[in-house]
Amino acid sequence: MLAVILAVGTFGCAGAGAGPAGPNLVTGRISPAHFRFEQTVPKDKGPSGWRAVCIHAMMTNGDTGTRLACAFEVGVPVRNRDRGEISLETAQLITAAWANHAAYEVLSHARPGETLAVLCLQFRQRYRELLRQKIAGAEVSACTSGLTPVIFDLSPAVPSLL
Amino acid sequence: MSSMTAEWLMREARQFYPSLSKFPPQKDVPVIISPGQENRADFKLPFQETPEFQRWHDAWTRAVKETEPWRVLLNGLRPRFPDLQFGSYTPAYMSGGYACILYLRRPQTNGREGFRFIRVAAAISLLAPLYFVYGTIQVATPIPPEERTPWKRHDPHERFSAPELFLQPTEEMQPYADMLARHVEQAFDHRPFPLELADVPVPDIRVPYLNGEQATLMNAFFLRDITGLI
Repeated sequence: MLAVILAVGTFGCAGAGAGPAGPNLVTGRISPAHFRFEQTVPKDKGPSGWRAVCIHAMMTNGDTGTRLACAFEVGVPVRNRDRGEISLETAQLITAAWANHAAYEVLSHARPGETLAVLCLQFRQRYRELLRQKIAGAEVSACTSGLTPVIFDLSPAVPSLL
Repeated sequence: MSSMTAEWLMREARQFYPSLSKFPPQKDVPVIISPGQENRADFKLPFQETPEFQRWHDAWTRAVKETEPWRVLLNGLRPRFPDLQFGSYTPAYMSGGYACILYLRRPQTNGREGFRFIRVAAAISLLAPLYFVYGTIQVATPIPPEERTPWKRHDPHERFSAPELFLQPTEEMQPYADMLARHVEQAFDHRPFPLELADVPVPDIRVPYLNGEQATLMNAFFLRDITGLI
């Protein structure tokens, strides 16, 4: 499995890529494969059902070397009115894309001295806002359901990905 | 059940949610994962070790397993409205309740083009025998041909507005809302939640699924955002 390192550097490096870039360099991307959803509520005839995944994504502050896993849970309906049936693949693609978007936005704007716990909270807030515009009824929170977390890491353990 | 006051509900809320000042999300102990420990399924934040959290979690686990009230509700409603679609919004472990939704499609008012997509919903609490009915309306307006994107795989012909909330069902929602209310009362044995209490803040509770927002009787006992239905 690939590792994800959401690395925050608090240097004055200009962030690259699309989106509202802040001053920090942010590297690392989460992939759809990390969103190993489990169906926690079966679907019924109409819009219904629920699948969720708990992810512990490693964040590293490039300046200080502080590392912490930002734990978050993502839940999506199995079927909603707007999209009809949301296949597992579709759910994975959308949730991964917007997780990256939200992480990039929050981490690139992180101010020096902000704790990773606060950044993780801001990430969950922003991710939820963005995701709900794409999948009606989706939710993002701390890991609350007791699902086995999907854990990414770790820079020292994956020296030769390139 | 004693009379339904804000004080009573706040006491109930404290059965399920631990103290926020003891467990603020900004101070959640960082998860530190060392190599070789990647698959720790037992990881818990400190607030998740409290009896309050355990009661909340148990309530969800029971609700996910015991689908009988839902079966009674939907089996009661479907024959009444054979042409309508029903939905059940159950954000498991990410809310204090769930919602049963009935979907209607009506023409636009004032002869305008497009239509209105109406949801009549019953928000049902997991944590107290309470429910309320309400509605949302999304307006769909046709996208003018010059703004369409026929070269894309997905070329929508309508644009949907953000749903608008009607805590008090409108006249056209009312018959459906009444029927929904009756069936929820029968299936779940719940009573109407006094809506004037909805926005009452509940001080000092850590609601597991909130990302730092103020806890209210509404978001602690029902959904985080009752407008954003599936």
